[in-house]
Amino acid sequence: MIRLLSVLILLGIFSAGCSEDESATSPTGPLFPESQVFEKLSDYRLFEGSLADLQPAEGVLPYDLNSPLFTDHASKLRFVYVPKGNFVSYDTTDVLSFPKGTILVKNFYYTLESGEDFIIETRLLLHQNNGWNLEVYEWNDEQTEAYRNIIGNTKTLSFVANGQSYTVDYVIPNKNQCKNCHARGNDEKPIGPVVQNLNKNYSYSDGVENQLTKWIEAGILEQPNHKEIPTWADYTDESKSLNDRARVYLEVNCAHCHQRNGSAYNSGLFLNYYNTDSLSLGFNKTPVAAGAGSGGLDYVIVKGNADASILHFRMNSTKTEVMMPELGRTLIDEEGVALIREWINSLE
Amino acid sequence: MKQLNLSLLALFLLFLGACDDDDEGSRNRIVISPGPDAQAEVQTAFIEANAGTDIVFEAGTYNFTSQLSIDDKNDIRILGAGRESTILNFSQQTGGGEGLLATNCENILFQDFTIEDTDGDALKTRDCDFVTFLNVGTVWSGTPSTDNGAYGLYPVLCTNVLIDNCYAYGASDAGIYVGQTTNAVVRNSTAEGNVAGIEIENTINADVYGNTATDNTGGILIFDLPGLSQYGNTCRVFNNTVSDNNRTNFAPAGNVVAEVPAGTGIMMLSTRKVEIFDNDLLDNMFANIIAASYLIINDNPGDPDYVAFWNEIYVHDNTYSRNGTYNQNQNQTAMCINTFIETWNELEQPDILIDGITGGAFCIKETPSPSFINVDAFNLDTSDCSGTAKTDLSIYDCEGEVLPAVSFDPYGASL
Repeated sequence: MIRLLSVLILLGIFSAGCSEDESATSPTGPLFPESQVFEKLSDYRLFEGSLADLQPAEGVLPYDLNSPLFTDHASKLRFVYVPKGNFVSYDTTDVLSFPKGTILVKNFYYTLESGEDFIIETRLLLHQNNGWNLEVYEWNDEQTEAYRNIIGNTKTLSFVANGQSYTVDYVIPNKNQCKNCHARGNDEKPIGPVVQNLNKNYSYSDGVENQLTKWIEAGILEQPNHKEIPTWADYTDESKSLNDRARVYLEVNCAHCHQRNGSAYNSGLFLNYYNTDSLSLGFNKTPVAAGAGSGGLDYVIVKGNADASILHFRMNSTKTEVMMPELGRTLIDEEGVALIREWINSLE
Repeated sequence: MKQLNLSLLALFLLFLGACDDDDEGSRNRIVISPGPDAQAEVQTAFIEANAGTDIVFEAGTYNFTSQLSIDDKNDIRILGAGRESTILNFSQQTGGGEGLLATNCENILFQDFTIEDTDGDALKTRDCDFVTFLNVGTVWSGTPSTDNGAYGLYPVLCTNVLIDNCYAYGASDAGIYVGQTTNAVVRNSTAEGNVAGIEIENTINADVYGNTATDNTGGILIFDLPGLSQYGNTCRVFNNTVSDNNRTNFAPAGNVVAEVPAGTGIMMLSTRKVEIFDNDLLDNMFANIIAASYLIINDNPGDPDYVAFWNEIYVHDNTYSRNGTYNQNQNQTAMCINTFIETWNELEQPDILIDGITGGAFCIKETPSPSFINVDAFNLDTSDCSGTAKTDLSIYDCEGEVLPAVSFDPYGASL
């Protein structure tokens, strides 16, 4: 209510006469706020034409990931903007280090039963002077604008995904919940744009090209000094090894919290793709502070027995006190559960 | 840029009406009232509050539908009108692992409210420095049940934590839990109807005194577990009343506390440097004091750096009684130890029970002598729980180390 009032007050003040209309009709590329933020998505000028078409402005590149996070079957359209004259160092040990002025854009949308797409929220990661700022813009029902929302919301939506109909109480996260997953020690960082996860082809408006190649050509990624560029599997790609698919799945769905600098550090369970330590990977590891999350089971992963593994139990639940991840989903990722189940059962 | 400043200004103007010009006029004050807007108002305040802000819950019951979280703040007080009068109820919660979550904060105080019926943990603080809880309650209403959340007050990976005059009821793990923390004081608090009343886990420097732990499965636990961010040591437990903790264990299986026998007063698990003195240890009918090794629960800790043996324990000047009723409803390990004691050795459950899985030091100075059993678990035959108990207390008659008091300057209070 207070937020709404403040927005109303703002609107009142700004409709009194400033340059807002002018900038919308004569775009000059993205605007980056150095320290504050804009209240409307359109103020950033990331898109051209009708906002809901999400047509990137010059200097804004769409991208995709080999394996994305499951968020209640929401589709995602991602963009990156790196200010001219800056580039990202090539690094395969961590998420890429984008320069100040970078904007990472993630649109979450569903295809409704009517066949139309409905954009729910656009999340921005703004690399500002004080570090990464995480902002959420919630779209209006008319799909004409998205407004800054720091306290989150829940929206009941019916949609179609993979030929199936779903109804979901979609949760738009509040600012702290954003931080919960993006926390790295005392800072926040992006999660998705890792070289291994970006290393794939993308259908750009001017043809299909490897994303990293495109980024290098566009001058936003440093040319690597060696040819072998690692890649992570698309976890749905059954031509890839089961172990690889499962470990990538755990990396993108769990490891943002379950790593040494992450929010779930206190659990001692680290599910990063490159972790090779048996105990912290969960093998015969007793749960810590799991409560009902243990499901009466003794170990996080029991090789060869998914039904005896807490990891599988928690993925396969929608109870608040049981489910993992705690945030970002209200439905079960059936496909993911099946993958992890097959993987655990295959382990010897 | 202009826009945000203006929206903050608008917020500020709205709150100005609720400002309080009394003795603490230098602090900002955001007042929350019960009602449908409370959720959004609190969450907004938790996100936008500047250093030096009091977020004040007026008296009444608040029904929250999702987690409340506060992150990366300094010098914030979250105040209710009283533990009995400001109730934050989360029974309709649909998301988040806890009711109230504070992360990466420095100088944060919680005072005078009760958190009720969360799905998961009640009040968790992670990665915070100088955290104070005064007169805060965490309650799962009704008969304590496995379906209740795990932890009530739950500081973890914190430093300089004070828990004073708090109350915890019904937690399916620990009512008051301090984990992976350095410098903690838990005092003058009451924990009842939980699996563990008060638990200090993988924590360095803890003082637990002046508390009442009653009607839990175990009253006060000092545990050290493998594979975590730090190992614990140095804990003083004194001047507490630990009585009649005989409640049937209702923790979900798989959790370490599910192994605690019903009837446990104070239990140490694989921890070192513990001093237990001047407590009233009354009618905890499995044992008033237990020292055990994690190896009893899990013979393969999987952590090469972990020391599974307790060591440097000093127990002195406590009062013991054993006039309660032994709870027969026990987990497998406890049942086996009971068979060992009663059937094979024709003894009664003792005041002090140790597993014998140690070469470490254990000193006991008590008058009159409490009853004592060393289970000598290495030689216990697990197939029928037979073996020979060691009951000679004289070899433990030594002066242990008197540990220093925990010393720090807590936020918003003093030690």
